[in-house]
Amino acid sequence: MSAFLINQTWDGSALPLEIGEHRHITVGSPLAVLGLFVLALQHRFSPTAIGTEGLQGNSPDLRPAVEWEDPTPPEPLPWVWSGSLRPAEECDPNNVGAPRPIFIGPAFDKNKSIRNYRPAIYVDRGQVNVEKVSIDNFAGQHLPSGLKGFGAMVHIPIQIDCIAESYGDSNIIADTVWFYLLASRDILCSSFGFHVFTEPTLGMTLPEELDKQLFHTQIFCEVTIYMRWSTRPIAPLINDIAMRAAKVGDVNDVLQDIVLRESRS
Amino acid sequence: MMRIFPMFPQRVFLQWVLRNPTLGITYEFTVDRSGSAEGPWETITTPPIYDFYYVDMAFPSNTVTGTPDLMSMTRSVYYRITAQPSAGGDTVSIIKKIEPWLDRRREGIHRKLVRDAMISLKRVIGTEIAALKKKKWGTKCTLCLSSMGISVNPYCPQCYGTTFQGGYWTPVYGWAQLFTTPISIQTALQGESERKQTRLLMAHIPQMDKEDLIVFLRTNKYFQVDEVTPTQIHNVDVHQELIVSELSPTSAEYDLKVDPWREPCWWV
Repeated sequence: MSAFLINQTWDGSALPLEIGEHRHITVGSPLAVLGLFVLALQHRFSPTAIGTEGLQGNSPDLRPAVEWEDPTPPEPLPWVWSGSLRPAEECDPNNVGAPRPIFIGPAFDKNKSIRNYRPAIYVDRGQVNVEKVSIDNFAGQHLPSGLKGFGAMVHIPIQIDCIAESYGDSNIIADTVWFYLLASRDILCSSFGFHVFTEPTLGMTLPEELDKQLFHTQIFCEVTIYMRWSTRPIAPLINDIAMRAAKVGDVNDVLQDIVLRESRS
Repeated sequence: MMRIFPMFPQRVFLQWVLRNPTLGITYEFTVDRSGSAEGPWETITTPPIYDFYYVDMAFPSNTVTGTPDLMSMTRSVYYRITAQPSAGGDTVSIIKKIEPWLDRRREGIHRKLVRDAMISLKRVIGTEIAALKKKKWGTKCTLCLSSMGISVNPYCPQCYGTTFQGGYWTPVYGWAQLFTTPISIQTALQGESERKQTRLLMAHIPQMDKEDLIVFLRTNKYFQVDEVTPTQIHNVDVHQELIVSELSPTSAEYDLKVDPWREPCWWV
């Protein structure tokens, strides 16, 4: 709570941020959690895994890739994430059987440059629920400014879909993702402040008809984070409503007019 | 099961399907020809072949005496196909006559319809295609199979995800007409996905099945067969109408290569 109050000047037009936080995505928002999963999976399937510098970037495609510094390099996989989806044999016909580029990204991305690409991993979230842990979610108040702080537990179900052209391909990609998440739960929890990161569930591999028969395997898990927000007195808005109510005579009439769009002035 | 399609006047197309083949082994096929169901048989495939079809081209001219004649409506040609498992064991054979299904009058009608369809596809409405039949038997892939026998790599350079070495049989070249339909774009979990399912008209050979491929040689577009509807006269195929789906350019099937300059020669 205190970090963003003290270190950041809030101009009223953006979310309160900690130093170094992205301007539009706060730590703890469901979008940020999705981004973290995408980045973690890209890291898993990278031929040379990226370091911590890469994890601080906000755009996966623009972040700088740095050399793997761990003495034990990642195991070779038949799929590789590199940002480019051009198959290796397209550049070199003798390189048949080279690891195939895998797409890893958020689901429902309409602006992808390539369509119907397989294999692919899509990360999406389910229905987000907020759990109250204090009365009215109230955490504290800054008396001189009137600013109030709130917090609640937010449950974010994560759904990861592994799509491939064969049953075995989809199954094994999903198995790799599932075990990676299972094994790195504690690291992700401690590094990114997750309150709970449930053990992932590996779903069935099911067929799907698109331009041809595909197979997809889903992995489910749930992340719980402590989400925080603050409010400060909003005198101009309240004054505006009070003045319009005084003009009409009844606050209910004003609000009903607004809802029914009868008041245009 | 064997089907014989005479391509008058000079060729006979034979296609066969193994019922309940032993998986993981190859079969070699020997084709014999005779003027009678009782023989004597003349072996016309030496050495044996390992494919799903054979084209008998031993009908150079109906004016040459001493050669089999496809133009006669009284004399028939019989074929015997023998399948021999590579691992040893019992052989299986089947004997069939050309056009065993039709009476004399409908034989002529069928020949006329087939010829008209072929000429129409070649000269008017069709373009060159390669038909690739997916393998249903043969030697198993040695690169990508799991212990469960499942292919774990659809881009496997040995089996293309079919689990059988080679993936598809030798292409059969011909002509087909592709009907146009709009490409449907839908927003799915994968972002925007494209699908183009359309109709295709082709000759009655080879007999196509679900998951077989059609490659249009002029455009290098690959289509997967979803449904097959043969047009028939008294249960005998005249041509085939297929429902096909255009494959995404990144599909594994694009690794299969066909000869783009091959001129189909079913009708001289």
